[in-house]
Amino acid sequence: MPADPLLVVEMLTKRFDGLTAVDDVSFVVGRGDILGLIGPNGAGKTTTFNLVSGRFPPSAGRIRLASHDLVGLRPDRIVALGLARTFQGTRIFPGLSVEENLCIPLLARDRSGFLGGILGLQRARHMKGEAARRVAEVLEFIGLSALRESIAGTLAYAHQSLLGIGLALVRSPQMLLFDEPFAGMNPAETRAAAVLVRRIRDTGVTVLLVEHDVAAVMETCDRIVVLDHGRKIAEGTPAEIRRDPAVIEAYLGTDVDA
Amino acid sequence: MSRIAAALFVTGLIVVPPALGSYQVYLLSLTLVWSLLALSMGLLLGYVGQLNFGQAAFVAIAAYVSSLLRIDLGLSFWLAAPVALVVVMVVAAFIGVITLRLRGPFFVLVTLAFGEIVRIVISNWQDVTRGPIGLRGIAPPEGFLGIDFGNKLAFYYLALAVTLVCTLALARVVRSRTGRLLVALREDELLAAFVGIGVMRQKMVGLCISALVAGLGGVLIGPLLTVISPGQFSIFTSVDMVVMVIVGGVGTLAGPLIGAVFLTYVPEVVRFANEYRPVMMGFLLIMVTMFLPGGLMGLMRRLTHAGSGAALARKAAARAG
Amino acid sequence: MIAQQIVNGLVLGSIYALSALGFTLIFGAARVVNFAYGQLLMLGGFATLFLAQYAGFNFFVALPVAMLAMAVCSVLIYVVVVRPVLGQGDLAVLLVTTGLLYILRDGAVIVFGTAPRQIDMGVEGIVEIGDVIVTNQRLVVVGALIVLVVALYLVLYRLRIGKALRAVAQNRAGAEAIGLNVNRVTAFAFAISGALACAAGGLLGAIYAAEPGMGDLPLLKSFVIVIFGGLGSVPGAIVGGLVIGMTETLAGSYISFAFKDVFTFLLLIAVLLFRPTGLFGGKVA
Repeated sequence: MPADPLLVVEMLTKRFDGLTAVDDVSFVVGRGDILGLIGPNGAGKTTTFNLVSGRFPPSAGRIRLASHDLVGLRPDRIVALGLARTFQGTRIFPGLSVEENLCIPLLARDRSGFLGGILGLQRARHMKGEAARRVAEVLEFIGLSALRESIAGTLAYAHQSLLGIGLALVRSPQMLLFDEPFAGMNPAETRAAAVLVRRIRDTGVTVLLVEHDVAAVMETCDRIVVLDHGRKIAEGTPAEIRRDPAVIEAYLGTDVDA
Repeated sequence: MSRIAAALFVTGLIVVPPALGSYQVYLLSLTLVWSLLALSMGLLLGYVGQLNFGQAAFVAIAAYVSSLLRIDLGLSFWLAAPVALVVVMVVAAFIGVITLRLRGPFFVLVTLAFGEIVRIVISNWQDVTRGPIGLRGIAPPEGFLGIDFGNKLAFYYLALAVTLVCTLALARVVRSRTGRLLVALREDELLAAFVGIGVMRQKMVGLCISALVAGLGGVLIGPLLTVISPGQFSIFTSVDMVVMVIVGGVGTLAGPLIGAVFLTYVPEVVRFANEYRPVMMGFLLIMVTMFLPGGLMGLMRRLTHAGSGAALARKAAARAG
Repeated sequence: MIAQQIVNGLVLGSIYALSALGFTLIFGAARVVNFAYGQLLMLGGFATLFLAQYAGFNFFVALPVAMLAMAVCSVLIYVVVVRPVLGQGDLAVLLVTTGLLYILRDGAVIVFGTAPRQIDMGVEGIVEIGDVIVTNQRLVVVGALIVLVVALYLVLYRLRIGKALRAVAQNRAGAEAIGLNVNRVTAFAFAISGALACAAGGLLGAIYAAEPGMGDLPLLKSFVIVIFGGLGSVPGAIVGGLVIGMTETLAGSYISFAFKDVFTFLLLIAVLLFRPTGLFGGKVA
């Protein structure tokens, strides 16, 4: 149990048409930690990820971020509380420039009245002051400053995935969820991405990542939770997980004992 | 460049009509009203990313509410019109609550059903709406400052003023926070939600603006035609708006305006046989969708940019980046 | 009285169900909302009319021949206008099929004129069961629905291409991955859809009349029915068609005839509020 828990997931359960995808899963992510969620295909890790990020509601269980209950909140509310996410295979706003992409989350943060929205009272042509500084800061951090004017859809895939991370980072979240950040990467790219994840943590952002690539998770994460058939079968440091017989069995299949 | 062209065009719209015959002036007024309707659809298609086959119902509600308030309660146009606009926005908000969580085809089909409900109710609620024959003899707006809107030219200038103000206001909205968030939504709705945009709320704002603009067209249509009937507001009217937007160019404000001129004014002037009009509309819709996805605006942009080296260099840079 | 209304509702519902079947099938197979579908029905009505009236075929020969012709016509529509824009997204498909709706509908006005023409089915007489009176023509309609539904199920569950169609409807990407020719399957769905539209058109032409606008209402009704029953669902289209036919007939005779369509649309909106993907929808998201 981490000393300073940020995200607390308790007895999380999700059923789809009689099929239980996530079954009574509990875990805690400590502030400033990198926690990895792994498991074989169909283990329920992506579903868990979507439940925590608010893409759909759980059938039962509790999710808390610091003192806030996240269950039942809309994605934009969850983002406002400081929990951001990335997407598998990267999503960006392809028709907008890199800089405009990063402005969108900041524009969404500002509230305007309904009538003000209809009358277009808030101008947004040029981001000013603090917001512009924040965009520049994130551009620098993800290394896309030189491409700020490029149309996002024309960027190379690696740059698009950096921009995807930038979109999640720009509102200075307390916690960031990565959805398979190493998918489709070669070993060199994976190493670079792992470095970026740790750099993000070093700026004070707590990280939860779901990933297929077990080796990369072992290298990147402080703690690991292993799911199989929707249940949590192990939790611990990478070294503990590597030795855990239940994990080895889940990954190799039961025919080992047979 | 385009600013100068627009300024010239507007100057022409102000200076030329007094020299024209009354039929020509009527035709220009009609084109302006259609421009408002096309703008309202253009906003939905281009910025909210939704196709609304019930848009004509917003026009119908504005036209009927404003005209009935004048005929039955004796209200002045200048009081009846704002009331009608408020009613349209409230209806739009109500429709939005039901439909905006539906995606793609579901949204289109339900808006279509909504349009039909409104048309059927208008056709059959005899006591209030006078049924299928509709309302006749709708008077021009009451004059003020010595302006008599019974004069076709004065009404034309009223329609022109409304259209210009509306276009400028929309241009401002599109550049505002609202417009930017709507574009983000259109690009990727799921991502938009997860970077913190309240998806429903923004779509609702977009739908209400669109309904407001359609309503402006609706309050003008009664005095212009002096007659309104349910048949004028069928799904085919909504489809006409869609064709204008697509032919003109989606995702811009100039596109719907160009489309409205191209499809209202041009066919009348060249005396295009009325019975072939729907067939031509259909043909245009298919051809533009298949071969000219940016519409006339896209075509013009390509033609004017083709020669300019700067544009080519920019395009190349975008591709290389 | 009520029994009579239920029988009338059943007949109306059968035609609705037939119309909706072809519409929902294309959606299931290709995620295409075909706005030109009502016009296929109209063309089918005229094809049946010309074969039965002017070429002298018996109605029950003319209808299958017309169905074959409309199947070909529907595939042509797929190949010429729908397939080229499939990659451009939902909106493009809606637009080209809407364009086609305009061309076919008003093209028919120009070619055929607007006068309604009834197709002679060659079936007369009535059946009386207690107080309930049904014309034999209407029994033919219900019979045709049963025959065509059985035939459709045989095609979908027995024929190889029918099974492929179901696979594509369930998971397009998956079907492609296991090597199914999705393009050919989609064309096949269009063919069946055209044939079913024609059957509905021919029957409508026989109990009412063939005219250029005859496809408008069935198209609207098909929308309502497939949303009600679930876009892409075959049982949803059948049950939806019967329920809507019944609602309209009962609401029309007991509440208000003029507003009968409003009740249908309100029913639809109510269903959507509680089940956004329709009664049998579930899987289509």
